Amino acid sequence: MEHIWNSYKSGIWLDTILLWLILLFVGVAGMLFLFIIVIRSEKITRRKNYYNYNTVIETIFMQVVFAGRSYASVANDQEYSKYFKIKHFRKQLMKSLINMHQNYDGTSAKILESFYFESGLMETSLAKLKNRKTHIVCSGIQELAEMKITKAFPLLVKLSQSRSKEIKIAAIKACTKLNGNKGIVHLVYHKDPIDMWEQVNIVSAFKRNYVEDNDEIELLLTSGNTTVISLGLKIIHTLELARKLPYVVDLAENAPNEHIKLEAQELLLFLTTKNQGDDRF
Amino acid sequence: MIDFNSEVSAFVHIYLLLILGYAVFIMSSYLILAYLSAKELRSYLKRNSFVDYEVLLSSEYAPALSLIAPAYNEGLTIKENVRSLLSLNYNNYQVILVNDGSKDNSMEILIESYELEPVNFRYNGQIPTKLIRKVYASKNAAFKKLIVVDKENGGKADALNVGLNIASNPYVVCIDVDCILDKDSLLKLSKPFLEGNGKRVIATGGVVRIANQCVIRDGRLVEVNIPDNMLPRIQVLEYLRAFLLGRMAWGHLDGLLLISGAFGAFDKEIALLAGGYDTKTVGEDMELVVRMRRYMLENKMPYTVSYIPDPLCWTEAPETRSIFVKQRSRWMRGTIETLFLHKKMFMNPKYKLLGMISVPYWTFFEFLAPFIEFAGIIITVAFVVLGILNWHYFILMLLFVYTFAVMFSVLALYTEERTYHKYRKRTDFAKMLMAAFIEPIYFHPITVYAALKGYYEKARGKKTWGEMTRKGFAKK
Repeated sequence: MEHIWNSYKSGIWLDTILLWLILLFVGVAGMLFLFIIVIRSEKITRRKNYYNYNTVIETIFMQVVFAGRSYASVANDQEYSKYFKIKHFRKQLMKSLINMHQNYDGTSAKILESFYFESGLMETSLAKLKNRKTHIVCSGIQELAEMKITKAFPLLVKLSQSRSKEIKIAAIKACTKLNGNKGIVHLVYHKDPIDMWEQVNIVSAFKRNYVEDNDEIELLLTSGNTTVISLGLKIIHTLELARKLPYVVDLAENAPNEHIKLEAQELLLFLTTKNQGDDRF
Repeated sequence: MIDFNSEVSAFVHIYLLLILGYAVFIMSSYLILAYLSAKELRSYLKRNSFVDYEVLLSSEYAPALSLIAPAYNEGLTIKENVRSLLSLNYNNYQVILVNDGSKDNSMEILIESYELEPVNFRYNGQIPTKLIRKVYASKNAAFKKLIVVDKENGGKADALNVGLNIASNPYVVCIDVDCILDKDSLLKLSKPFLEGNGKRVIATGGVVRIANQCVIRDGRLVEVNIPDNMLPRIQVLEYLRAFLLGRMAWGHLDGLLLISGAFGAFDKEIALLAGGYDTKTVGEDMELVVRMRRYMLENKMPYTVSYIPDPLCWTEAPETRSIFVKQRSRWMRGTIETLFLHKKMFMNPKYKLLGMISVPYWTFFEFLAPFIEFAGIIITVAFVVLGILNWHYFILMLLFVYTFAVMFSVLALYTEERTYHKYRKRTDFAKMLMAAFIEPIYFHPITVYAALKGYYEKARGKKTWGEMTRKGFAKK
């Protein structure tokens, strides 16, 4: 204690602290500098690998999709087998596969789906759903939906209740992709509010995956969650579903709050005008 | 004599401790803000890695925006600047160009280039402004988004108020006409208005970066470079620190006081209710944000101000010392005026985080810091003259502050590297690193001088902006 007091009185403490802090700042700056160097070189390596892997991936898909080669024969091929063990390669392979699937229909799409299944990439996607990182869960959801893995639907419905807005949006979009209109009917029981950004995303996904003979959209108007009702109204408006007019009339009369009433009345006006317009032609 | 000496010695000790205390306080606050910023930035990037902004392009529910671009003597570049504003990636928007009584041929160029004709435009004159001479719209359907207002000169704030009166959409985006906007900037800026979570989003700010020596093609930034000139180069570093390690944290705390005048979006209704831009201040951007927040707090309306860390807007930084000093002295005048106008908020718990943290922070670290630094220089000189300066401590303190400044700049470079990685060339990185070492001894003294000049000009009652000559961007 006396030593501390003496050093305080003599001013040595300040000297020591300042010196240590200066050294600390120099050390931290040096470390950050080294980190920057490492990050930059990692990025360069990754970019280099990206181009190399891309060439390999393109060749593999050319053989699988257009030359009828199976996954098993590619995986056992000495030229390619080493790549399948590399984590980054598999990641890139998955991305390319999803991209390709988005651009292909019919037989080619089916071949890609088989590849996804046989290569174990589907398990990778399913495992992603359990990850704690939002962006990884979202990529898993997107992959499963793109590859039409209908068995993942119950999992996706569960994820659509997630607290994370991003996961919620990705899951609802995936549900509509896998199950058309029925993919969002479960929202009737959704408890948390769905904000405008989520609604815009859902409406957009719905527009893309809408199937006319399988609609139960009016169920959304019966939800106890007003944001779900609002979403239902927006979907009816965007898709101009004039045959839902009676449900909208009913909602306008028995709306749970002023905001919904106003939204329902506006939609009513829109649909009525549209109906009259259609009658005229 | 002995008494005098002991008194002087006590004074020197107290002075040293006070300066050290202030330095430690300011450094700690920077580090806390940097930590919060880094945390928020990481979370933002992860959250948004799966966001599909393009859904807004085809959605009728995308917020309708009115871009307000005041222009004064911008004849040299106005045609390209307007074209670039008209070609942004967004559907639901209009561009209101307000010609603030330019003395050059800006209006003639606009009329000819965009086939403008006078129209009878009905608008809300809620905020009093200088006289509007004419409102123009284009005969050509390709430019139907464009409205040009020709008005008497009244300054930037007055021109922005005209835009607020004329705007027909619920959200206004106020920009500097000579800024280069990212193609998706409006998509990113409008998203927060859709996700209020029970709170009304009254404003959204984006990151501004320095575009000197960057390559611009057709009004878009195509190549990012670091300026060769040391003054703008250090400003690149300064902007990185301010936006990546400072404002992001204030955004996270919901205590942001400033949304850059170069690029920010506002809820028009609240901006009008708060009274629009104050034409009596030169810091109208900061003042409006503070007034809007004050309005919401005083009326007990739940609200938030959002901040986007993506580099969405690129601007030209002053290249010469005289223009730089003019800009920074104006910024200081703006800060003084805003803090003085809203002095009621200072340490007032009624204004919550804003009154208890944001305003005091600005008062102690933005407004008072240059004064304290200047006082430090004077006292140090006096100590040298009197022969009582403890050179050992003086050098240690100097090294302490210098090493911290360099470390903090390297931290900003590291954050940029981990996140946006816009400066890809190795030479650019070396240039920035060099700037980090030079800044405390070259750039910082100039900023202190400019701030002191700002104090002086404020005391003299100066109210004008001063001429801001720009060199223009490199084009391909």
